Amino acid sequence: MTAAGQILIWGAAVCAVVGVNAFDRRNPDALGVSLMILMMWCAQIILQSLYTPPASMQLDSIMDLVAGLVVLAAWWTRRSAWKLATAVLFLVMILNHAAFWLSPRGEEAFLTYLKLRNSLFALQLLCVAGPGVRYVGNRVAGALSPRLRRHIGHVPHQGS
Amino acid sequence: MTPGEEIAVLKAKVESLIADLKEVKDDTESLKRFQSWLIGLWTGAGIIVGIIGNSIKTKLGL
Repeated sequence: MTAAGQILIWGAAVCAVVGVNAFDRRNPDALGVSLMILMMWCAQIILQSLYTPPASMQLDSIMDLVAGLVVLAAWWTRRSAWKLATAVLFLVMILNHAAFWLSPRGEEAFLTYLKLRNSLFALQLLCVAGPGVRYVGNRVAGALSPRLRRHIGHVPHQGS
Repeated sequence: MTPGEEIAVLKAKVESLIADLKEVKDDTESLKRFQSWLIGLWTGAGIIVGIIGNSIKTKLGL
């Protein structure tokens, strides 16, 4: 896949997470964390356009460290499982950065680092999207259930 | 309406008001928390723009 295609897909995924969390006004942390991830992703894209990898990724470890601490603080003040899972994923991401930057680097090590990094980012997006998806799902199910009940009520009983 | 019925109606109204008040309280708390998020995000964005701007200047040799 081309670089532009990858940027488009990741960008759409990050924006979708922000969009789905924007529905739930009672969960400002989910929207806040997703906006923070969007901001970090934008910064990473700008850095990637300025420098060639892996030099373009030098700031990522600091950004992930700060973001991890912010998510941890959000979990500390208002506990929920998705925040803890996201904070753990940020910790694993930081360990991945450390393993890459502190060890002798080669082509193979860089590819492994990139794969793990992308997988962790996808998992983070899934974790952060969780509350918004649950909220939207509940709303859709709530809106559909009276119609479904009505529809089922009109369906003639088979075999009676 | 008997006094008992009146009391039941009033009780229902008070319960409804308490539920509304709780909703408003939750909304206010969420709004305050989101305001904190916005302040933090703007600060973070400012720092990132500063660092990236500095990188661009260095790259351009300014």
